[in-house]
Amino acid sequence: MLKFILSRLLGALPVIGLVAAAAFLFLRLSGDPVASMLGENATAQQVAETREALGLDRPIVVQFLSWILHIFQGDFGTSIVTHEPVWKMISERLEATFSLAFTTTLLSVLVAVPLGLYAARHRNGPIDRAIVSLCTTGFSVPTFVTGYLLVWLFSIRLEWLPAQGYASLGQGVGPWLLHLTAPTIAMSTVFIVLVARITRAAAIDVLNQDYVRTARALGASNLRVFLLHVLPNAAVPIITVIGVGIGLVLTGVVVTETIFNLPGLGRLTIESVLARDFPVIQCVIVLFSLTYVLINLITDILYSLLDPRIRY
Amino acid sequence: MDSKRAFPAGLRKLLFAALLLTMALPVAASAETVLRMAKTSIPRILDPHFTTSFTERDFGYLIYDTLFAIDSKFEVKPQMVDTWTVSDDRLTYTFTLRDGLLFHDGQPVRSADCVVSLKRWAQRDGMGQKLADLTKEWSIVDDKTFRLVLKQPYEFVLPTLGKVSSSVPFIMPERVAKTPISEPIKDYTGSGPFVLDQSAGTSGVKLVFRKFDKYLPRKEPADWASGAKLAKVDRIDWIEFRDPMTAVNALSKGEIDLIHELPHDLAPLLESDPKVKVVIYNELGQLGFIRFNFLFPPFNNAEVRRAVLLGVNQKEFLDGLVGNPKFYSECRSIYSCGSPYETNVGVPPVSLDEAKKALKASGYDGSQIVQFHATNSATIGPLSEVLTRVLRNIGFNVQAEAMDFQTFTRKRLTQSPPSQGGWNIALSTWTGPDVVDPVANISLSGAGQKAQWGWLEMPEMEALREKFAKTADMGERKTIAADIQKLAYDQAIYIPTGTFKALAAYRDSVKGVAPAPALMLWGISKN
Repeated sequence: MLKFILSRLLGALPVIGLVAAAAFLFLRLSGDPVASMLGENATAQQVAETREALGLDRPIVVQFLSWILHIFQGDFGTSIVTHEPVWKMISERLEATFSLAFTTTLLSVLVAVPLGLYAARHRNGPIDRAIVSLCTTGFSVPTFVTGYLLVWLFSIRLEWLPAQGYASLGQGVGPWLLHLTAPTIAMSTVFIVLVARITRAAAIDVLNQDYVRTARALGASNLRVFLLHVLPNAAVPIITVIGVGIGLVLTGVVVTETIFNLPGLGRLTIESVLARDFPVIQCVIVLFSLTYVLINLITDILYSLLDPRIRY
Repeated sequence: MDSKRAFPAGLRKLLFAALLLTMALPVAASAETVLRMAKTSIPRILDPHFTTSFTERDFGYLIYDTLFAIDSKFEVKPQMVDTWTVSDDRLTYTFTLRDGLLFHDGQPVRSADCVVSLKRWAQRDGMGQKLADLTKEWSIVDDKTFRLVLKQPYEFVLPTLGKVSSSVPFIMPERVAKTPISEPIKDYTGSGPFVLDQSAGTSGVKLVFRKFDKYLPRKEPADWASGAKLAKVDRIDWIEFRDPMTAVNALSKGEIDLIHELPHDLAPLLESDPKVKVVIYNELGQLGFIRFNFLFPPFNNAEVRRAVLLGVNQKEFLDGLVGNPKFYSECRSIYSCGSPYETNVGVPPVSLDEAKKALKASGYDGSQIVQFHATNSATIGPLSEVLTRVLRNIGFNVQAEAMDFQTFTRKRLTQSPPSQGGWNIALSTWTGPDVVDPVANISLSGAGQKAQWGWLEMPEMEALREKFAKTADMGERKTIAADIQKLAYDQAIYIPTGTFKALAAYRDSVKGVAPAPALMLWGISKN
């Protein structure tokens, strides 16, 4: 297994390198931020001087090699706009995004898997149809609509939850949870639907298998059948979709973080893109691609743990 | 097992109380008064000399001070300066600083700090550059007295040093102001009423400012950036809300105290809230303006530009952007309406039919014109859409190139032909104080390559602006300002699209919010 993990990590390096190179190149093609940094009165000469001072007038290859060299030295660079270390800017935003991703994944799995199994158990019945309809509706409503509705209901009308902002874990678990409740529900809506539908389909497939019929014939209870036979055999597609979902959550936090004013990576990404803050965007893209690689790796490891037939 | 048996009533109450206590702990009462202020953007560069961005200007007003400041009557008032004299030949200005002025690090403000700061600032600001061109030398007499010697008389020395909008000539410590203008500063020591607390904020999310206890306010009442800048709260949290609707929700719920520059379409949501007050914070507000590229056809032809001028009905633009007439006013003066030089001289009547006729008569051949359009700007975006429609109605063949604001600011500086990535026409905005007179209004510059993007070359305009800058008499100045406007309209060098006022909304616990042309948070208290 260790050999497998190492080979996967090594195999991911060219992927991350390609992502980094593509991000670097395409960002440079979109133009640099100097003119907008200097403002309305800036002349072409002042823009050129500042571009030179920031090293943005150097050939793209030189800039790229310099960036890569610094990355290998553990230096992620300095923001062109704020002049702060990029890693400092990113690390300040990690907690909010990863907290939201964690609570969203947890809530989604805790709700979606039982929901999918229940729908499969009562397939084609009114409850199944209700769940499927709910899933279709949930999938059709954009996150920002759900977000605004949640704020209106729980924050403005009922005054149960804060309307915005983030409280770090250091400020206490209570405030942390209170601030994450509405964003988590908003983010989970689509995730729950995704996982519930796959769970239902996978469980229906397993429920049709002979070994399930045999277990029932031997008098196994529904709970036993679902826990010991259905869930483990339906787990692989469920784990796959959860893995994909976590990736989607991490990269799809922009809207949720904006609506709830969470200081996370999604907002940092969009702000940096708008400001053409190249070093920050590049670092965020590399970080996201690394996260994707790790999620895929964990998914693969879970496959082999859940299904003894899968070996690497 | 029955849950009620598993958790007896007493234990359940205890757990519930513990949960409430956990939630309550972080919001434990604090003696310091904190003003939580929301804006859609937060300063990131933190150098108001380096960039002319209004966000950085607003940041500057919190931590820096100025030698002079213009008040709401457009009169220049001393701020850091105690006394000043002007020589009989009007070439030498001698300034003496007030006693007891300190920087946030406890060091006294000295003449050298002022001179070096002004030299740095003047490299980027339009009015500053003009002053620098006319300056023979700055000299330091002693720690509190310094001197400006001009090459020729210039009556805009004090208005330049007291200018209220970007770039504001903020005074920094000498060691900081020695940073080349091509690099942003990294030391944020000022001498203003608030101190930036870098350890308490998060980059791009929240900036924290603390009251500077040793700030020495003037005795006169505060009026715009002049007078007593009394910090009446212990701390200001400047929080970025990218989504204004979220800020509105937070204000309704009392999670923040003040929204600066509330979008007009959200005002009705808060006007009905009894605990919130919505006010016009900046009467001078912002003004849209249509800018031509004078280097290429068809807008190198004054007749074609005049056709656009005749077809621009400001109401269409203002309705498109603001909607509610309470928050906008038509203003066809090229100087801010409400300013001393406001005039209607030379303003032609608007008529789409006349515009069409004028375009036909101009010889415009129907070739495609490129309009740059910054879509993600809350003001330029909607105004540009109206412009596209107006141009098409007049009879232009318009290709609207949509782009984000950052690309817009970069691409409008390109002097390539429109067919090779350049442009013909674009719309941008000023704030009212930027265009109060012919010197401040750099859109009027006819200095060719040194002029604003569009690169108007018009020596007679420059001569008039020069004459204005050398004139001391107010009556004469008004006459020259009117002549400049007449020339500007005759040649249709740019077209204002009306004024929209800036709004603020705040909780009833906040007192002392006074109208101002920029974000000025002194004098504001909170119960």
